[in-house]
Amino acid sequence: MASPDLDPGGSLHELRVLHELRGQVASQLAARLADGRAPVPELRELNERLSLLDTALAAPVKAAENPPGRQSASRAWPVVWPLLLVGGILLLAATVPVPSTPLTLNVQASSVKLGLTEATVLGGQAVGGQLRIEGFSALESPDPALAQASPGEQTNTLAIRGDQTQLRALNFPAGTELTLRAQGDGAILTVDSSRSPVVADIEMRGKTSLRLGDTAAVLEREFPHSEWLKVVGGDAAQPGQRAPLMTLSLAKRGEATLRIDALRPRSLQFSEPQAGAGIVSARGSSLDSGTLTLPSTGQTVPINGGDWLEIDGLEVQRCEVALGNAVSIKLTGSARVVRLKVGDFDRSLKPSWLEFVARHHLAGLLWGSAALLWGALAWVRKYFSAGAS
Amino acid sequence: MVPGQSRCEGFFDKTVSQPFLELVSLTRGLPPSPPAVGAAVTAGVLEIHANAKGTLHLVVQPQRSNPFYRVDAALQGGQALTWDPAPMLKATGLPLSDLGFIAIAGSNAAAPGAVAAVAAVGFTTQALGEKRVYAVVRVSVDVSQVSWRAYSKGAAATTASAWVDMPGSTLFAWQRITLPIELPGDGKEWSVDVQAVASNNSQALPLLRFTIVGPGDGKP
Repeated sequence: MASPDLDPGGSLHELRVLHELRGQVASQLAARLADGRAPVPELRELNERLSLLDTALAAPVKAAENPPGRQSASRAWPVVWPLLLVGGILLLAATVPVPSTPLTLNVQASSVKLGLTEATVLGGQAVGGQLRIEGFSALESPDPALAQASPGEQTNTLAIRGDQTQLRALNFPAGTELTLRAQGDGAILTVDSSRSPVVADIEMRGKTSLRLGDTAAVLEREFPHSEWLKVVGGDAAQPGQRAPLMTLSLAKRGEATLRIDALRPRSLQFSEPQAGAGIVSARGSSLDSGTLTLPSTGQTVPINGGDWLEIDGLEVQRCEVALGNAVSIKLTGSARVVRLKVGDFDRSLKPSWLEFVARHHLAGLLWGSAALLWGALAWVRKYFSAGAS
Repeated sequence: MVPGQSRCEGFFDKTVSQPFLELVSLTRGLPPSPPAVGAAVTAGVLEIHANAKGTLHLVVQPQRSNPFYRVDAALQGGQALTWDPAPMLKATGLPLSDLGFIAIAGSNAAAPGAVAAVAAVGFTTQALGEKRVYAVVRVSVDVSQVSWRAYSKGAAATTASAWVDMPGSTLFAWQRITLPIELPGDGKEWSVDVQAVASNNSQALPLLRFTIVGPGDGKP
């Protein structure tokens, strides 16, 4: 029964002695059993000695089958894996962001580009001076002089200056990028729509001068009652066609502010061509200042001039845009993409699940982690107690 | 004026809200008068007709700015709709003459901001033959003058008629005025522009523009 890898000097000799001793005790027990007169205590003593020798002989064999190194490794593994599981869950929760985060944005910028997925109507804005429209394909008006002045290839600009000029409505279809820019003396709206038509409804009253195209003569009209004029970009009969890029410049009077609250943008971008960029225009950030508040983490991120902010996948609850000396935006909603880039440091401001849960379900998180920890400890203890027996 | 649309839209100024003109009723003839005063307030069941094609959206609302009470119903062009005004009159405490009837053609999902197309509502089949329709218009601010013009849509722009200044049309805020409009005999679409000039700053309110559809639309 000797094992080959036992120490030949010590254990092997001892084992042999034990083996011989067992042979003697076994034969002695057999002999005494055969002799029917042997007292029972003696037989019991011999039997007990035999079983003790058997145990002593069996132990080294078992030890040879399970060397000490292998035994500790197989015991350690089940201890490690609950810890790995807990670590893995924590790592996932700390790195995977929530799908969408609520936010409140309050910024000033020189311009903003809004991605609009719904058809939108802006309406009822008095123009305190000249109204200039570029990029359209048709004019409609009950006034014969205006209706006849239909735009040709070259004449797709219109400038109106009158006693009372009003942008009654600006309609654009779904899938429009609207760029709003504020300047000291007015506001510029650029409508880039992938569908048709883009329609600007204008009303004029009193002495009005109109200029169609950049070179044509000025048309002087007197409208004692109001007259309307409809400027259409694209063809209403072909809604799938891309409308020409329409730009509206609205002069404003004094410190007047143009307010828009009908917009429900899907995305916001703050970039504009940089002044003095040369032939190939570079784009810079149009942001001046402001704050971005993320109620899900209680974080308020200051936004400084030149930072890049990108917001996409917006579901807007409130959006107020004011065009004064700068574009001021107050927006509340939730977004799927919130990225802020300062210099080369680009980061997503969406919180991870761990941050989110830690803020909103703190008690649940504590109880949950306590339960997990207890479970892991119970497992380890159970394993060790089973091993000991 | 976008009847049937409860959407709030537009450029928005916190201090000065945009004054407006709105159409509250467009009928051929006037609704039959109720029975003698003092009798039970039963105006009788009304028959409502509209001389236009397709399904129209009928809106019945008080011509006054309040109370807010509104009836919406589908009205088939050329078919009579019977409606008992008694519950509405009882709930609002208004006489029948204070109710406005508008039949909107086309779905509400039409391009927002588009000029509304409406059909004149008649209360008898004979009334549908009348050329004169009554448009009741309400102003949101004090105005010094209300004027209107009508013209055939799509035809040469020169067909625009001269403006008609309504006599005695100095109105207080939320006051209404009835414009008698003669329709052409061909039953084709007829465009109407209504203008009001605010008393306080002599600035014109945005035009109220609507088109009256008839049975002749689509015919050459």
